[in-house]
Amino acid sequence: MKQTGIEITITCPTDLPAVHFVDMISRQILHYMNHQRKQEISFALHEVLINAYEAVRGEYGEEGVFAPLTVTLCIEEEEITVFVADRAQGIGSSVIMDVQSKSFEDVVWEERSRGLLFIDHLVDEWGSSKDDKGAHVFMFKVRGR
Amino acid sequence: MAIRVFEGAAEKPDVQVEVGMVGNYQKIEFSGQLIYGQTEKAKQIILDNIREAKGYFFDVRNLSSIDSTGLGMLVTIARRLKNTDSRIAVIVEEGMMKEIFTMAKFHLIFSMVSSEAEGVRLFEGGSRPNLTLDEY
Repeated sequence: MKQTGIEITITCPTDLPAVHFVDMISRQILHYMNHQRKQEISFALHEVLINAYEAVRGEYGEEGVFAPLTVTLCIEEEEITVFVADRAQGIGSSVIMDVQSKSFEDVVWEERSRGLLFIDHLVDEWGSSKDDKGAHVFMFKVRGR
Repeated sequence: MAIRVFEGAAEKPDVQVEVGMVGNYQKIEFSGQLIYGQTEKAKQIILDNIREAKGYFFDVRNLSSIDSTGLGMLVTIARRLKNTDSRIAVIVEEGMMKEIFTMAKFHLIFSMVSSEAEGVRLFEGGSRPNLTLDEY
């Protein structure tokens, strides 16, 4: 089996200091790589992380901090794929349909509802699923070097 | 009990907000990171210091990062100021920050300028945003 890229996995508690730590580490990695879309990837990853944090806190409250949050960066020559696995229930189909049917203009005077729209605009592909351990996994992919 | 290994991290997010006057207009100047976990602090400083003015500037030139919650907070402040029928301009430089504001269509509700002087000229000229809260 050939290993063609680099895979970096960070597992941490689902709390804000850890979220900011992952933000910082991923920015450093992308900066080191001088990836042409590093700012878009960092912005999108941050949005995924705060969505995960809010979802876990919404379901488990303060105990949510003990739930593992796993972030994996898969760096290949022509694309970067990011996986964020959390212990919340995941994104409902109605939320996904909302993102597909709404534009930024529709929510321009709203305080919320922009996070997934940004992800949708900034990355080339994204999706949400469950892994074999029951964790919710949000994936996005960005092409280019 | 969770081990708080990140509490001593060198780069902790923080936001600073300075509120002052530029002629007849109030300027709210942000620096640091206007992101999740910091927006409540920023909002409270603004609400505590906001005064009646002919117009307002949100100066984001010294922000190192913003996210969807930071943008949402600016909208919340703008909704409050809407009651005073005042105009609001965002002072932002070219780059990723401006791209984010443009992507979010904030140019529909705020004037986007690159300096205070440009903003004052725009206000004095009677410029209005394209999409007011009433029309939304």
